[in-house]
Amino acid sequence: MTEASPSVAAPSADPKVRPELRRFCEIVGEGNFSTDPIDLYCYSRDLAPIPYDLLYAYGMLEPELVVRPRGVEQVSEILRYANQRRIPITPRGGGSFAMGGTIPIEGGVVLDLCGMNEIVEINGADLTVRVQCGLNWRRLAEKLAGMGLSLLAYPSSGVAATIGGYLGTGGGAGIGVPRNGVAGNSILSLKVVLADGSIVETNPWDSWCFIGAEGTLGVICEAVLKIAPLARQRCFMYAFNRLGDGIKALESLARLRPFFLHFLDRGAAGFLNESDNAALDEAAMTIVAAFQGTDRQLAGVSRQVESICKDGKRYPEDTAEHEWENRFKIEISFKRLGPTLMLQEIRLPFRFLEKAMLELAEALKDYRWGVQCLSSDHGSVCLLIYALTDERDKKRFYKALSLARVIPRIGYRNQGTVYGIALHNSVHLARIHPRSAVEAMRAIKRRFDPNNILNPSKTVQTRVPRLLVTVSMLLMERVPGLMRLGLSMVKFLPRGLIRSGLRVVGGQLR
Amino acid sequence: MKTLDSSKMQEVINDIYSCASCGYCRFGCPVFQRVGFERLAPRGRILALKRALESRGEIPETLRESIYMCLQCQNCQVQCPMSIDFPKIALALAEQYNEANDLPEGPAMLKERIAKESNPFGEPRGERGAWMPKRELVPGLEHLYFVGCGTSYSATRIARSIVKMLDDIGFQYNVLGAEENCCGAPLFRVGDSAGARKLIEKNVQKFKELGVKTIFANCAGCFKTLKHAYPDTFEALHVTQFLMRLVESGQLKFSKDLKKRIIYFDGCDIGRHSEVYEEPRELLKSIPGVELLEYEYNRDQAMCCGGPLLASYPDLAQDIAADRVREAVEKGAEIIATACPTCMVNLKRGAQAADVKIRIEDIPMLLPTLVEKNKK
Ligand SMILES: Cc1cc2nc3c(=O)[nH]c(=O)nc-3n(C[C@H](O)[C@H](O)[C@H](O)COP(=O)(O)OP(=O)(O)OC[C@H]3O[C@@H](n4cnc5c(N)ncnc54)[C@H](O)[C@@H]3O)c2cc1C
Repeated sequence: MTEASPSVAAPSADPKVRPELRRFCEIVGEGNFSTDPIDLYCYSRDLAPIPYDLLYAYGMLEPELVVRPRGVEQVSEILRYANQRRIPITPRGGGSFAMGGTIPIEGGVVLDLCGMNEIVEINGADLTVRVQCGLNWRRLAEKLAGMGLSLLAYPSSGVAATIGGYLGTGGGAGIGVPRNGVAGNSILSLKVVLADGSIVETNPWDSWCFIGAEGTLGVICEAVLKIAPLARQRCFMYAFNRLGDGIKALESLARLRPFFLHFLDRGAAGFLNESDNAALDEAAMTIVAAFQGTDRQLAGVSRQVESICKDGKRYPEDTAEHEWENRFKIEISFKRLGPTLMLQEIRLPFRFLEKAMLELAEALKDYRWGVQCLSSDHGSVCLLIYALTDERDKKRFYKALSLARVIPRIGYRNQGTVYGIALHNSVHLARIHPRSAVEAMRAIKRRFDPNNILNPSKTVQTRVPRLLVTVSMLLMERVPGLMRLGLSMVKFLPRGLIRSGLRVVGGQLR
Repeated sequence: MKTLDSSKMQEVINDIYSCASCGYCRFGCPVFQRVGFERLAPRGRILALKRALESRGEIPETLRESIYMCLQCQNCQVQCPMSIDFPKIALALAEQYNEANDLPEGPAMLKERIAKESNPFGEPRGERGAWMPKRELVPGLEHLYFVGCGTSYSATRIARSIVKMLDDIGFQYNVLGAEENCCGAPLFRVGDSAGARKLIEKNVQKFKELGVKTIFANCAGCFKTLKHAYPDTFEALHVTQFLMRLVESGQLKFSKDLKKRIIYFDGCDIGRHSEVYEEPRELLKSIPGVELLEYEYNRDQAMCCGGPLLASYPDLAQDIAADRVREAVEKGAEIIATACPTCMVNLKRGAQAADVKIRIEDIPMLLPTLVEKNKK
């Protein structure tokens, strides 16, 4: 899609913008910035239903301005100026990440990159494509498919997610990942703007520095991706009554390197039946797999799949196809049943999956819950764990929020980790990475962004002391009513006081 | 209006809370794709509404503009994993703005004009049938051609094409002319459903007097309203469905060919809102020589042309249409065929903005010179 200059200017003319920030408006030009209160609110939220009061208590500031740059030069000018003035910049793509990566906790300016959404070049001969960072994955996948080409990996949130956002989060799971490895494997080069405004073009190895940095080290503006000819595909779907059988099959299927690998547990299958009239067996595990290759390869794969899944019940191929067609939606389509969904993601080695599932069943016994697995890469699965709740029933909801502590702990106990750090998991950094790795990451951050303007208080830093988070999570679990009352009062404290308080009790930016 | 009456939002409250904020709605939202800020995407509006519901109903001033800038094209619902009906939420809000008498300038003027002249353009009521040669109403005829405001006053070539074609094959039907009232669609859009119902009553009265059984409309907005908001004692058809029936029964034959690459533009009212996708295509394919092309995003995925904002935000409507015209050119089309006068008019403006020379015609306008005459 080509975007010309927008015809509706943001309702905010310069006067509302603080003089120090006007330079940003000049850089992007009329119609490409906003101080509209609805925008400022929306750009301080992401997918997770975290109550505003809680973010307030953790010292969140509101963004003052949202800008939509139209090219790498504008991004460079924006960062150069922000760096001179020490103004926080939060990069944002589709805003579909649930870890608070796009929440501008230190205020400042949100850099909405969705206006940079062009396909710069498709090279069918060399099998590469050069795209801008704000392009949507589904749009790119469909454009390529129309030319007989295919992406190597893309997220199942591709209808919303952008190139830069997926790479920013690490692209560790998704469609194509079980076959081709994590999204970073398909990157040949990135054009990145660093905190001081300099523009660098990386080689495949340097690219890894920015992939998964959650927008804290640089702004990815363009990417050159490897692509492949569109291959023939076959889909399979099996239901297993015994979890153990399902897990064994899943692990063996993963070794065959499917393009898409997904499973639903009993709870998730039930949700889909209830909300989408899916008519699925509510079996312990339902697996959907899609393989790509030549007709001969697919015939071979088909025999192997049949033998691997001999203990399962096979669904007709068109049901399997339907799940594939629905791949962008199945993960949240049943949200209506909540209507609030507490969603946690953990990544685990296969061999701990059964144990973790049993622990989840115990921990979630008071909830309506379910599990799906995002296509995994070799050797591990990425679990999406849902518990239904209703944010209007505050007491229940606050209790459900404490699952943000309970579920990752099940992950850690089972040699696993969380999927993404950004804001919400940054307090647990010490659990997620070895100390030496954390130190190395912080050194890199200081090197790349000495003035700490790029997505500050995320990923390698935290404003909120871990003890405070642990205590508040425990309170939510045990006395949610009290916690709610407390938080509604915190709202009356000035932000400045909260932020200095947090500093005193140990929240620090390193 | 400064506060929201949450008791009046009960019907849509579950939809509001079911929103996951995933942002899928932005994918096919033409307004968002053009302007690019969250306040103009369903996700952003829902976030603002949720916040209002949780803060004693206080709503930001800019929400009103954002709500009236929704095209109600329903593409967001198709993309939404939870199938949230955002237009329904927007209408529930528009009802409140309407009741509070707090409409933006455009919709307020439109309401006034309809009250006075029964059309949203404020054209004299008596001239509604001025486009057609004089004809008498014949009680007892089964078929009625419902012309609609846009076609009666501006896109009159569409109406003249339909009448010529049907007269050429000797088909009998009624046209209400000056006795036709606005179908009510524009009033539903601005949140005045009570006003719309009054118009419906007036039209229904006329239909009954004439003994009408089947109504066909060339305006997709009228067709949608006739189909969904009028009593189902009348069969409502889009003119392309009706003409396709005539083709199938052999009453309508094409004696000349049209060697053109034609791309069909799925309008929202006939497409997503009424799920009529195939008959317009079939009709085009029944013309000898036509090569039918498809938009990259077609049928339920089709992107709106921006037409509903033609009166209130003409520049934005034109920019959106320009995108659709460019997409058609990219596909190699020589003609964009529409099934809705608003789409046609707006796409023509879009072509100007995009500085592209391409024929844009409503389907009935392509046909009269090709039809085999059968005058009895
Ligand atoms: C239904 C659903 C399915 C999902 N499936 C998957 C999946 O299969 N795999 C998966 O990994 N995740 C998945 N997710 C999570 C999320 O959608 C992905 O992480 C997604 O890739 C984020 O992209 P985005 O454009 O929305 O990024 P955002 O949410 O906008 O940003 C994510 C992070 O990246 C940073 N960032 C954004 N753009 C840039 C840039 N250009 N340069 C540098 N940093 C940047 C931001 O600061 C932020 O920290 C899913 C979510 C949903 C709702």
